[in-house]
Amino acid sequence: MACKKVETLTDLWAENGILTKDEYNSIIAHIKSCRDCSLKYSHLMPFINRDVNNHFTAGTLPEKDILSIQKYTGFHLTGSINPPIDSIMDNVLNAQNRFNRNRRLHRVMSAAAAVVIIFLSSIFLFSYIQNSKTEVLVKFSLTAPEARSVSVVGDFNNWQPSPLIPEGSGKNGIWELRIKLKKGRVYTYNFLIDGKTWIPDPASPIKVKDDFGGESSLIHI
Amino acid sequence: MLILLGVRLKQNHKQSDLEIVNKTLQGDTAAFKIIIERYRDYLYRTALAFLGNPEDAEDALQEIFINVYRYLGTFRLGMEFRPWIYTTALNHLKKIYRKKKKNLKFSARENEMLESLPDNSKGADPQILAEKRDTEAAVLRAVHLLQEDLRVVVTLYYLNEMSTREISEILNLGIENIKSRLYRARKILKKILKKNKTGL
Repeated sequence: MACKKVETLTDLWAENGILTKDEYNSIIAHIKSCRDCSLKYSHLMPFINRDVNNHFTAGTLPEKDILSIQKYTGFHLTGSINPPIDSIMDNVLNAQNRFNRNRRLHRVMSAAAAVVIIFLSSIFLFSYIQNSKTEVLVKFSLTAPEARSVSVVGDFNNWQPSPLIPEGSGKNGIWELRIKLKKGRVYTYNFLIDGKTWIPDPASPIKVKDDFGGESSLIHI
Repeated sequence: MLILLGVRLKQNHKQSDLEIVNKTLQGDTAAFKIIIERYRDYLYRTALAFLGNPEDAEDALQEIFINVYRYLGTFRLGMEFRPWIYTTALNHLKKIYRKKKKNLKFSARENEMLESLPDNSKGADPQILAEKRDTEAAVLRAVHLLQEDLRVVVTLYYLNEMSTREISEILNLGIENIKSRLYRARKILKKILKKNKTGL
């Protein structure tokens, strides 16, 4: 076979990835006797062999020729390479043990973190409950014998009337209501008589102008 | 004893990958050794072609098996194992390659490269053996010089003798795409290997 033909066949292979076995064998036969083509194509032969014979090895060539041409065809996937199988296995198991230890440690740390969070939450909750004890019971009281109803309205109840109740038998005209309010704040409020008349608390010494031309009482607890 | 060993070897040979995976998952850690035996050489060559030098390839091989063992629980029984293990291996190799890209070079120490390849031709003509191993090193070097998308496909198709269907499963690409990459790769490989040998 002429060198030109080998060139054409290898081009054909590069183009299509296909050669017949006869074409492949003819290339092998040629490069065994042609030094130039051997230099050019011997390293390409494992690839061509894979496409022709479905193996990256000598494949279907006659047994007596395999040894002599295997230098052209390449790979045999056996033999000893590093690291050895036992060593890989040992490292796999050691790595897995380390991983498991770390995972256990991670779980312990997560559990510890959860305990800390619960503890801190408890402190927060306790503090909240404690704070609730800083509320005080405030008695709103108004003497209004003529009134049929008295309510207290203020910023502590969003200006929604909270009705006062007549004290005792109701004959003395005193209306009262006890409301829990938080300490440390200033509240603004009025009394509402018969659902229509707004007045400030006559007993409160501090009063401020409201937005409607009237007055509201202030109380600091 | 020898008979027992023979039976054991025969059993190992008969067992499918899925049976071995199942055994490993059920706590038979020794079964995993058969997986290593079956895939070590293929994955080593894949790593060598991908990373270009024996030290990185050996480290990567070790790490690949550690990952495979650790995440074996995520393998769904009923699927094929070979695509799964190669997907795991390629993901790891790509990660290493991208991380070390600047520092990775094909081993300048050719002797070291050659020494790292299997020697299974005991009794063969030393000259033929030397040339065969020279071919292996040249092939791996050429594959390593390909750009990443071509290198992956060539490594799987030629070095691991996978079908285009299998490769398309592993890479989640269409078969025509794989064939197109192989076409481009063949053209480049021919140029590289010709130039390498003749100095053209």
